[in-house]
Amino acid sequence: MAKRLMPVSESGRAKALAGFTGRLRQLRESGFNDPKVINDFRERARAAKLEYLSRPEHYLSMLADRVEAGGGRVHFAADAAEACQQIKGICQKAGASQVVKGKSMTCEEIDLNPALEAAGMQVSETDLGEFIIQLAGEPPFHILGPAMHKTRYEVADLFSKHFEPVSSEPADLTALARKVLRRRFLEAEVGITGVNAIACDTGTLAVITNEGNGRFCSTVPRVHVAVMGLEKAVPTLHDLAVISSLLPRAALGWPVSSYVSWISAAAGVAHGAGPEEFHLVILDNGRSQALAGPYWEILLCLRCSSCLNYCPVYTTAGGHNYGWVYAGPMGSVLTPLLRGEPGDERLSQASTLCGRCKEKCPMGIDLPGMLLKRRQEEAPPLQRLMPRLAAEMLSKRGLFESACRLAKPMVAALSRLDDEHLPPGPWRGWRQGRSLPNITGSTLVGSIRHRKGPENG
Amino acid sequence: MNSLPTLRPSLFATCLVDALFPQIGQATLKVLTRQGLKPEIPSSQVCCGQSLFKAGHVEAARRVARAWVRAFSGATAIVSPSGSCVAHVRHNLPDLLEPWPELAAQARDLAARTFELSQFVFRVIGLEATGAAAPSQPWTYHPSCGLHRSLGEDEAPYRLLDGLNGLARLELPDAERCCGFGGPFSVTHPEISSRLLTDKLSAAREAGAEVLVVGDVGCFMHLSCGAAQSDPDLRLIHLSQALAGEEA
Repeated sequence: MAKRLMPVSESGRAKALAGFTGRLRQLRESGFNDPKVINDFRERARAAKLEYLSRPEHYLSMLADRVEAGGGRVHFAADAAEACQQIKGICQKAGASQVVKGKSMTCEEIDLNPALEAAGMQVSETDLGEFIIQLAGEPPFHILGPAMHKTRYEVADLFSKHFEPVSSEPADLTALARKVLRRRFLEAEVGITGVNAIACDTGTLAVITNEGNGRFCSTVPRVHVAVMGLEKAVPTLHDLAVISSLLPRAALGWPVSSYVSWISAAAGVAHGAGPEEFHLVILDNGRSQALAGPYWEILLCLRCSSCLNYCPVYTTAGGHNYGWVYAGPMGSVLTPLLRGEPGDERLSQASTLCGRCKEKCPMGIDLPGMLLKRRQEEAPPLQRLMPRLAAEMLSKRGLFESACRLAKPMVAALSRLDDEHLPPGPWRGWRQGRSLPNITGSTLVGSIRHRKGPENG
Repeated sequence: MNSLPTLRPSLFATCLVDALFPQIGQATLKVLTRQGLKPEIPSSQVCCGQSLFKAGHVEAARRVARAWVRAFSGATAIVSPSGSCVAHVRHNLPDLLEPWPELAAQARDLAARTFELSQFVFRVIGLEATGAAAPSQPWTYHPSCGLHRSLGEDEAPYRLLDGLNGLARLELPDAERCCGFGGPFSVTHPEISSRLLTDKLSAAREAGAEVLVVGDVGCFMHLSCGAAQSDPDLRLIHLSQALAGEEA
């Protein structure tokens, strides 16, 4: 269950969070700032996704045909457990004792690593950030920077404990990670990657990284397994180009990422160019149901992290606070849909509805609108005392003026109490860092009416 | 506008101004009368229901919306010092009143005539300056999310503030970041809310400001109640007060 969000308490971590998200905002503003370009990308990317989502069965069967025609295998998984079961089966059949993984939020979502480890496999995350949090046993803190909350000193401690003594110099840390991972890349029987987008007309998938580890995972091991949420497909190879170019722009302001792999893995298997086996796992896990409901628009999400970086709440609370793998505004919409534990819907309260996420979303997803909708679904009915009283008081002029008169001594009394003695009520929250407002007991409109006589207005 | 002398805009004070900040309502009236307008103050006016709507109480918000439309029916133009309330009137009231087609039609008509103060002065009257003096101490401006994003009014407040006579506006670092109010959010998540609040006050200080002009009424309440505790020397005024030349 999602708990109430709190600010990051440790000051070093708060600084790292502000610094990291601030740098991402800066990068984006300097490289992706022309409203015409932004709009053009948004329209083309939305059109592609909307076309796919209007006929997902049609396109997924086209995609499956293309992949299988080239010698690949397609597996549809209804939920996390089935996906884990399928991937474990593939790995066992390949006789895998070692598995390497590229960064994948979908694999985080299905909690894949414990399932493979329970079957006796060693699973290695190969994205440097994921590698660090895997050692720490933590979920990602941020979509792009899963270990952004760790200082280099913490990383040095982790590495020293698990491998060999190492200094906290970033170059030394990276060199050690590289040394450890290089051997694992070469020894692993199976490489698992995510899918940033996939074209149904050719079966070509895009894996976009900054470290090249995704390309390593998908080319060196004998078996490549790509795991995707079913919303990741687009109709054509042309659409794949739009998404591959929009994603790094939205995330980092870059027109292209350091490594963009377009893998027509099926063609590769047939022609002996890639790994010997290719498997595509297509995960539903609540997505079909979401598509049919009022929150379908979240399925346009590219996982670029813009909504996190611009969110006043995320940049204060950080990732782990959201209680699951997805954080920020997109997480607050997605978590109740995909995990749906009781209480997850309360994440809709964790927003000021300031609208900056919607403004910065490269797909123009109405995140605040969906959070508001969720609040409306969860709100108590009008028959309950609070909304009923509020509606009466705010819709009747006479009652409003009486309430203002009554509020004066009440607010004055509350203001005199210290925090420990405050009775339960919204003033308890308000008084954290804020005084109660002064209230005169009269109203502006009422006093003008009295001054000018009842004929005015 | 040639119909200007006969234009009698109605003041929509908003519940917060009505109950807590009469000075903001007075400043709004001052800005309008200074341009030769004779604003009316509909005496049966009520809240627009924005806060209930944002807390998720749709049915309660519907009731309040109905009363609001009745109170303002017949107005030629409606002017309010709150961009977020105007955004609620424009974007949500017609839909909320759908169950009553006549009221919904009235709401649509009123929505098109409802303006936030700076927007009314800049776009409807067509003025680049209110003729007032800028604050006499270094000052900056917090653009509220309601006015700038929900209402999409990103030009009028800046043009009019930059048209004030005297000291020029200082740039507020990361100005577009929310002050942390968010209506119910301020009490459901007080720790994050007040952290964002102190961030905003610190940003004003970082800009070198002694006076912080605030774009919306909710943010004004939030920031002034926060400053009372953590930075009592920082003076807060609402956009309408700046445009009226108060605190000059």
